[in-house]
Amino acid sequence: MSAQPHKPEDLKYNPSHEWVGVSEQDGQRIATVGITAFAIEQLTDLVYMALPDVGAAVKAGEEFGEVESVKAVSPLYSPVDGEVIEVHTELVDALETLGDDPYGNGWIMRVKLADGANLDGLLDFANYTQQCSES
Amino acid sequence: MDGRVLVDIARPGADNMAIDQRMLETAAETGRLLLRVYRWREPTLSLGYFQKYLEFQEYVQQTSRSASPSVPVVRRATGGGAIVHHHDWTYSIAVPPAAGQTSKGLATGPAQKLYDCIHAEIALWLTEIGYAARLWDVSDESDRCPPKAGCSFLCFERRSRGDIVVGNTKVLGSAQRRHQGAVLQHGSLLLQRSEFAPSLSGLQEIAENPTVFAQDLGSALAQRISRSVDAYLPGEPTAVQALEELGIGDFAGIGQFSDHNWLTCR
Repeated sequence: MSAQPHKPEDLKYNPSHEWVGVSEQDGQRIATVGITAFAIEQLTDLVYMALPDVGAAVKAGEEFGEVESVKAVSPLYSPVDGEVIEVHTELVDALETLGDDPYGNGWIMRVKLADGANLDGLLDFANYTQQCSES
Repeated sequence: MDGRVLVDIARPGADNMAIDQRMLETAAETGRLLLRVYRWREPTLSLGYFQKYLEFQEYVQQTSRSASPSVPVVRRATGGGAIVHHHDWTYSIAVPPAAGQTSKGLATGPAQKLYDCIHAEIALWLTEIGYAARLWDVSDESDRCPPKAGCSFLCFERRSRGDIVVGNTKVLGSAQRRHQGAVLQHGSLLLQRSEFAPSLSGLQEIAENPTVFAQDLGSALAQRISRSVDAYLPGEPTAVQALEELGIGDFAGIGQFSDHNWLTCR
C-alpha cells in the first residue's frame, strides 16, 4: 500500500527514533508512525518485524512492535496514545522498504489519536537531528 | 562503574532466561551493569525470539534423535538461531543506558559495537590458552545468511560478523535484546560436542585442553568480559555470590519463559 512521503521537517520524533505525522481525516486526527532513516542505518540488516494488531490500543512511550537485526531484538515505542486502525503488513515480507522509503512507503501503522492526545512531549526535527548527531 | 558480576550455579532453562530478562530490566531501572556466567542444569535447546516453533519440530524430525523430544525447549527474548546448551558456558551482560561519556555508544550505538567489544576480548583469551581464535568477518555477500532463504536452524551452523571462530569452527555466538535504553547480550562458548547437536564441534574437538573444563573457567570468562567493557564503564565490577546481590532475586515473577504459549507464539 503506497503512501505519500512525509517531509522529515514536518514530523515529530520519539528519542527512540520513531517518527509521527498527524493529519485530519473525516474529522478525526490520524497519526502515521514509522522509524527514522537514522535508526534504520543503525539497525543495519533488518530480518524480522512484529507488528501490532488492528484495534490494539497503543500508549505513548510503550512498545507496539519489535524488529530484529544482527540477532538483536529492538522494541518499537509508540509516540502517541490511541487505537491502531491500519497496519502496513506488507512490510514484514519486504523489510527493505523501511530503508528505501522510511518516511513514505516505510510507514508502519496508523493510529486514531485518543481524545486529548498531543505531541507535546516529542522532539521536533531540529532537536531530533541534534540528538542523533550527539550519539 | 556500578557493576556486579556473578558466577552462577547451573539452572533450568526457563529460570536462566527469566534471570537474563530481569537483569535487562534492572539495568534499565538502576543504571547498574550486571554480568552473569552460568551453565544449564540439563541439556536444553533455546529458540531465537523470531524462530518458528515449527522449525524446532522439523529439526527434531530431521535429526531423528530419539532423545531429542525429551530435551527441554525455551524461547529466548533475543534474536538469532537455536542453540543446544549442553557442554557450554553462557554469559549474559546487561548494559545500562548511556550515562555519561564513558558509557556512550555501548548500549545506544549499533548492536555490532557491543558484540565486537566483548568478542574481541574473549577471542584474545582463547588465543592465550592455545586456540587460534578470530572474529569472523563477512568478506563477500555470498557468505551472509539471508533469513528468508533457508537459514540453518542452529545458531552455530550460521555465521555472523563478529562470531568467534577457530579455523572453520564457530565456538561462540551472541545475541541481544534492547529495553528502555539498556541492552542485554548473552552468548554461549561451546566447549564440547553434544549428542543433541552432533554436527557442532566444541573447543575439545578442536584441541584437547584441560583448561576448557577447569573449575574456574567461568570465573576466567567473567573476568575477561568485565575487562572488555572497562574502557566504557571503568572500574572493576563487584563480585557477588547470589542473585539477590545482583538485585534480581525476584526473577521468579517472570513466568513467560515457562509458558507454553510463549514458546509456541510463532
